[in-house]
Amino acid sequence: MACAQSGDREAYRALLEDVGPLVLGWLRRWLADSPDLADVYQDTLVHLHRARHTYDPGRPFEPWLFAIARHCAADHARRRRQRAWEILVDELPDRAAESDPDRHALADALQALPRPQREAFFMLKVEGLSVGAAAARAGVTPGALKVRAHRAYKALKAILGGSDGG
Amino acid sequence: MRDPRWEQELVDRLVDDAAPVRRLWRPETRLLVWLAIVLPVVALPATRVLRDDVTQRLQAPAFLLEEAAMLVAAALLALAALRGAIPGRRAGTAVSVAAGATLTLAGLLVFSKPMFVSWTPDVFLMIGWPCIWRAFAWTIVPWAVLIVAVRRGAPFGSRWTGALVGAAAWGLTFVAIRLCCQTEELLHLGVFHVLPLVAGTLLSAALAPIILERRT
Repeated sequence: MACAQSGDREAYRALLEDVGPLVLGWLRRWLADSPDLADVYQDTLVHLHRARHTYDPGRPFEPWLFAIARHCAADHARRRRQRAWEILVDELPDRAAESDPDRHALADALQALPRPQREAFFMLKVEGLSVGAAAARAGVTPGALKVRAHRAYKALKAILGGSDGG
Repeated sequence: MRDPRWEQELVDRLVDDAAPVRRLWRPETRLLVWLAIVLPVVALPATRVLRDDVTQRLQAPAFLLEEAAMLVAAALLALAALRGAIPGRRAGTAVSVAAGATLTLAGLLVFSKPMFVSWTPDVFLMIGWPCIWRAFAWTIVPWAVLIVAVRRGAPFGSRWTGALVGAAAWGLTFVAIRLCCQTEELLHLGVFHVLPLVAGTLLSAALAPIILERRT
């Protein structure tokens, strides 16, 4: 990114091609329908482009990148308020489905969680990220991420009637 | 959903537009620049209408503490706004706690003043009017400079950022106006000093989406 900031187009191209799948994977958890996913993905790359001067090479890249993606996804969700609850759960990744036979119950339970908790749950349990990596991506401390995940497990357990839920 | 051709076109377009950019300075540096610009702008008119007992008041620990607390709070709020305009960065716990503590301290000191019950409405308004118009007039430059600085970043939570910008700018003006207003009375301070600060913060929060959301 530092090279891209100084006008190195090849470095910038490589960066955009590298972050594409990362951003898409992240956005897929928020947005169910494909046309919207494409729009928000495009929006995220455009925002990244416009905000590239704000990146500080002395700081980690992921929190910066995912803050932009989060903003685009949240903005999209806000604009489409009538479909706000469609985010995330319609396209539960297979691993979540495999781990719980009652996919719809889990989907409903996840819908009921606050967004930060849902995000923490997915990063740790579906994507299998480490606490450190998930915290960096969410832009919070590892301690804060653990608290979110713990609350998510607790809430899921309560909603799903004592089953593990995660 | 991925259409490689479509995606490639987008990447090509962005790469074509990838002119070198000037990195933002650190928020702390930008805060110092903001203060360097706006302190003289606010101080200049204030020095022309200083209260008669300003020297004496500045020797009173409570007044000095109130002024210092509000000045520090304004600086910290501005720092929070500048940090918040960078994706992935937050005000930080230390800054948030310190801003809240200094703001509370200043508030407690202001609201510890005695209240007179003998105001007549016309005298109350006549004495308060200069504080109101000064508050608005002197805040324009600090607010505008800070909002431009924040806009240089990529502020996402624009209402909250706008509130921080407003509180910082009005907080700074609050300090200057206290050096010019001789009335040490609770109702006057509440209505003509604190209320404009609150109203200015809300106004800034309301205006910010219009001003800030164009860029991002």
